[in-house]
Amino acid sequence: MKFISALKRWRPLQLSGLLMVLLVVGFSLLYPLSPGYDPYTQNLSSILQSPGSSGHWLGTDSLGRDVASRLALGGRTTLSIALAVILANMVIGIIIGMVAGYFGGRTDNVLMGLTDVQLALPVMLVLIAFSAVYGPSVTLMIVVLSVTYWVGYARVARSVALSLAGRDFVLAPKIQGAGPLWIMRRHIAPNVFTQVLIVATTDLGAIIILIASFDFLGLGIQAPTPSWGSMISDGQGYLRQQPALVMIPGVAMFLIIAGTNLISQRFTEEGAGAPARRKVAA
Amino acid sequence: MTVVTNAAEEVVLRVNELSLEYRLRGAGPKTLRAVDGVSLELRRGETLGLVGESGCGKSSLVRTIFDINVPSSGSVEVFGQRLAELRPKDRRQLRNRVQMIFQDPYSALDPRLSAHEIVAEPLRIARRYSKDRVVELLESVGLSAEVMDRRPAAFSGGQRQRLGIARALALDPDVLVLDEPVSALDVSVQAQVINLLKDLQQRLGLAYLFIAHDLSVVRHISDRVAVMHLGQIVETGTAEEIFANPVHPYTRSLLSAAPVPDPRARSSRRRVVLAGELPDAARRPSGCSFRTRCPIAQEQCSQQDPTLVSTGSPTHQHACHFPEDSQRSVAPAMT
Ligand SMILES: Nc1ncnc2c1ncn2[C@@H]1O[C@H](COP(=O)(O)OP(=O)(O)OP(=O)(O)O)[C@@H](O)[C@H]1O
Ligand SMILES: [Mg+2]
Repeated sequence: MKFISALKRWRPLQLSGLLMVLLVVGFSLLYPLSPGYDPYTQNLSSILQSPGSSGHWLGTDSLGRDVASRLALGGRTTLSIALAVILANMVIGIIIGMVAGYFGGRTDNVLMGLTDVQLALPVMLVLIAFSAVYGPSVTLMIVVLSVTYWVGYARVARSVALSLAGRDFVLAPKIQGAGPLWIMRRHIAPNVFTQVLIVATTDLGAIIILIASFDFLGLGIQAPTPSWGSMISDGQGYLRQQPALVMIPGVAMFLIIAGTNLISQRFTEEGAGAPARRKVAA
Repeated sequence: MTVVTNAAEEVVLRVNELSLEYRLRGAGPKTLRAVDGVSLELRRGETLGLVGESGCGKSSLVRTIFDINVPSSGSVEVFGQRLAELRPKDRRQLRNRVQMIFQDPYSALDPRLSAHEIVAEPLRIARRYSKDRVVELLESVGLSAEVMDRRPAAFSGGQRQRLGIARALALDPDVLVLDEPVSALDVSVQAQVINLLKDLQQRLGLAYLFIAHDLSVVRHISDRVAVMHLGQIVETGTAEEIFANPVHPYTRSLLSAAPVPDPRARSSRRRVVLAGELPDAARRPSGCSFRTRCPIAQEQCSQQDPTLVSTGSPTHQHACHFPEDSQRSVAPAMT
């Protein structure tokens, strides 16, 4: 199988990164299918239970809710929001970058000016300001994050487009009457995607931290829906009595962030064509 | 009044006083005139060989003809119509009658596409795709339909150039502009590709603007030849005139540098080695651009840029102040 043989080129650390991500994602996806899954029911007679206690293998929170269930649901929401946000930024960034790189000149200057504006925007302050006006909500957080994290994709897409724009195989269809849309879609975009994936895996960690910090501040996912950020902020008040409440979502976040970084390292090497293409001499 | 034109005499591609300047960055000159007032005429079914050293502006001329680079002056006419003056739709239609073969068959094909997709692309762009047509095109350049699903990496240089030719033929052009179509290929393959081109020309009545950096390649396929030096045409004439009776010292030195297949002819020929390199196009010499390398240059040559003038024959033109001296002192012509 192609996938298995591709994995053989991964170094042990990178493989462990993959395992870390699979562990957290797998848990978030699968645990809700188990019979003990119940993230919402409160039980004030058994609050702040330690991990390993009867019926709650990751313990309970300050309202007696099952931490394992909340971790899984929090993972689902956090990860799916992160993926949606990355996808949105990817689309915006690829379009802006490809257009800038392909057309060059003034178009390039204007669009790259736009990226400077985006970089200068303090995401946190923007979200706080909008939350003050419209009230905090997940939708608002998703919208704000979706348009404020595309510079990395734009830069990569631009440099790929720039390097391909003058190549003969891009000029050939142009001479034969293809418009810019045709050329970008067929000849530039496919080369952009592989490069952009590297940025996406690198960004995933940063986006998750951002989402978690917004949740922590109460600007993102709203109670009672659990999220890793709100779990940490809730647990904070019981640091003495039950440190596990902060540590458990913390570990989940650490695993996913460290894991995606290790994976992106692999993708970077693959993209650079480094030790990947080692053929066995026949 | 109707103008009756003989079909064979019809000019399919005309280049009028075309110039191209690259803008340079950094210190030194601000512009580089890569194409300097070039005029060419190509008639239906004929081959015009355009010859000049590497860096003399051949590819730049091609890129300007195809509007990849915007000319600083001059115009391009296809079938007597100035492209710049047409509405976009008409312009595209006319443009499609002139197609291009690239210098480097390795960079000319998108490595991600299959042979089928590469040849199909112009058909798809023009909304004329049919699989049968792709097969027909592949077969017309000597490739079998079985290779359709392979990517460029699976093909040899010669096969790639064939793919490039098939792609260029897809829209039934009347003119092919071939930018050194064989110079990136092995010598053994060169002859095959040239034979294919000759064959196609006969079958389809194509006109070729065939570009090469040495005269020997052009010799056997050209009806007429134009010699280019530093962005300018310095001599043009029928193949016979250029090879038997070259006038410009640059043409004569190019001829003497070309390998001579017949050993007897070789001994009877003095070699004239060009003095020095092609001058930097951004620091073009005053007057005649060839004078710094010319064995017969005189005072006048540094002051006055010679223009193309007729020799005795109406088809034969040269841009040299001292054509008689040239014929006396620079390498004798090949016979
Ligand atoms: N994009 C560019 N910007 C600036 N100068 C250029 C550019 N492209 C080409 N030149 C210069 O223009 C001149 C002509 O180049 P061109 O590629 O047209 O030559 P050529 O005759 O096709 O050479 P070759 O036989 O090597 O293909 C050279 O001096 C080259 O350095
Ligand atoms: Mg060239």
